[in-house]
Amino acid sequence: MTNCTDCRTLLVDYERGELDAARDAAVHQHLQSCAACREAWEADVALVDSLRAWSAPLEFPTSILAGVRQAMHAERPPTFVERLRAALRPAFAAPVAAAALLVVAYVGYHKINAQQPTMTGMDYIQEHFAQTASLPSSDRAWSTYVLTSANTASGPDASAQPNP
Amino acid sequence: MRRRSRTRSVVAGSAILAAALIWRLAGVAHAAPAPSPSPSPSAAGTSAPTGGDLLRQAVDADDHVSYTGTVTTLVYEEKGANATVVRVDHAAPNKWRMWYVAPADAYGRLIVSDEATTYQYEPKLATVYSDSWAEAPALTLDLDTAKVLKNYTADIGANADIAGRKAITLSLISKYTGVLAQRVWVDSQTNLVLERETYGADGTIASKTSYDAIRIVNDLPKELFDLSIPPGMQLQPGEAYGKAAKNIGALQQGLPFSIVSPTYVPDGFSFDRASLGTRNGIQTVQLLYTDGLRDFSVFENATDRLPDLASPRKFDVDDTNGVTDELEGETLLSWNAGGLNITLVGDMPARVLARIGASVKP
Repeated sequence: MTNCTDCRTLLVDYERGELDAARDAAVHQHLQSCAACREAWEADVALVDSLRAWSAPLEFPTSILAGVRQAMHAERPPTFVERLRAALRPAFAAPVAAAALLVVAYVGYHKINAQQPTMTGMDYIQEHFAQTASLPSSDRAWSTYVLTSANTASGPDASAQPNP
Repeated sequence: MRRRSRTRSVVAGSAILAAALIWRLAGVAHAAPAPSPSPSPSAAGTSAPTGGDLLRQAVDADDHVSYTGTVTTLVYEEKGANATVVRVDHAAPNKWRMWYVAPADAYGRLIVSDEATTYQYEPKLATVYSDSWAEAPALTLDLDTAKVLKNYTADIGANADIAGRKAITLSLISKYTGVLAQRVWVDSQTNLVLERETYGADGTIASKTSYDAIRIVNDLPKELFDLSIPPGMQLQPGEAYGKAAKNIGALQQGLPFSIVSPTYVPDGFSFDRASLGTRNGIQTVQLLYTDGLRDFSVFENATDRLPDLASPRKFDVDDTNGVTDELEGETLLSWNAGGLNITLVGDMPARVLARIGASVKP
């Protein structure tokens, strides 16, 4: 490094100690021999020192610190109770409750129906035939057909409609 | 307008009766001997049979006569008619083999029975059902011809030719209403019933059964009546039906409801038997009433639910909403009362069943 332009470019980094050893040595040597650059460097050092001295005693105002602390406190995760309270707000809870009631009613209706088996008309007819097949009015071929149809999937029950 | 509109007028004049008796005696005297039957005293020509005699002989004929033939049954309903066509082999007194030709859903069904055990062969399902209803008391009870003759006059009528055989007509007419209930054509040689017509309470025909062909035989091969399971078929229990009892009180024990009997039944009807059966997990009591020819059942269970029906129609019973339907030639009427479902089934119009139903007060 032989000129002042290079030296002035590196002065800030030189002051912070961020130059590699070779450049740091070159700037140091130039400052020893160049009064103008040494004066510029000393002016920078003096400015930085004065700024540091001015800012050191300053603190944030109490109101700002209080606001910051309040904001930090408000950002904590909500508690279980707070979450539950929020979930039970009417705007959210009403449709959820209605949907739950519908599900319960639907499941309950089918469960009740499933638990209440129903006779079909053919069940009664076949029980009647089973007891009357021996009477003089009965017909053996017809009675046997009606009775044995109960055992097959294609029996006369197929077209039965459920009553309300 | 009911489709079963072939109303038969009853002709039971003394002239016809006398002619029939003369013909009957002449027919018996000149008939060629049957191959196997054991002729009854009247069939042997020792005395002139009355209508009652002929009825008694007709209902017993199956016990003495073996035969093979084809029988067609037509059951008339409002919606139309149902038919079965069955080839029958019968070895007296109790062997039966019935092969169904029609209807389509029963085609190929084979029934083999000794009146104690009945096997139902279903080739389409590769299954043989052992049917318990054949063991039910209903099938082994004696036919109550005394009750029939108490409620009906048995008039011998004109002769006829049925399936190539000479037959005597026997008309059974209600002593209370004067309406023809049944007409049968009795084989003059063997007393087998060759044809039968049944009529509704309003005089319209309800069913007709007749042999298209019949051959009286001395015997039939025993193999026809073998109760065996063919290779490839499996044996399963058939539908179970309630066992009959003569005493309603015996059925009451353990039931969650009180059995209620009708306080009104049509003239000539009386309680015959009761049974307790379970279907679809439902305990149901059945009370059977008959006048010998007609019958109806009163069913009671604690479901308080109407049965599922194919074509239900509203029909009130004593100001209670009910439904009615016609199934397999029978009328069904059902309603709920006092926590019970009450269902009547019988071969009579719904309005008659409703009169009976109005007297069932849970």
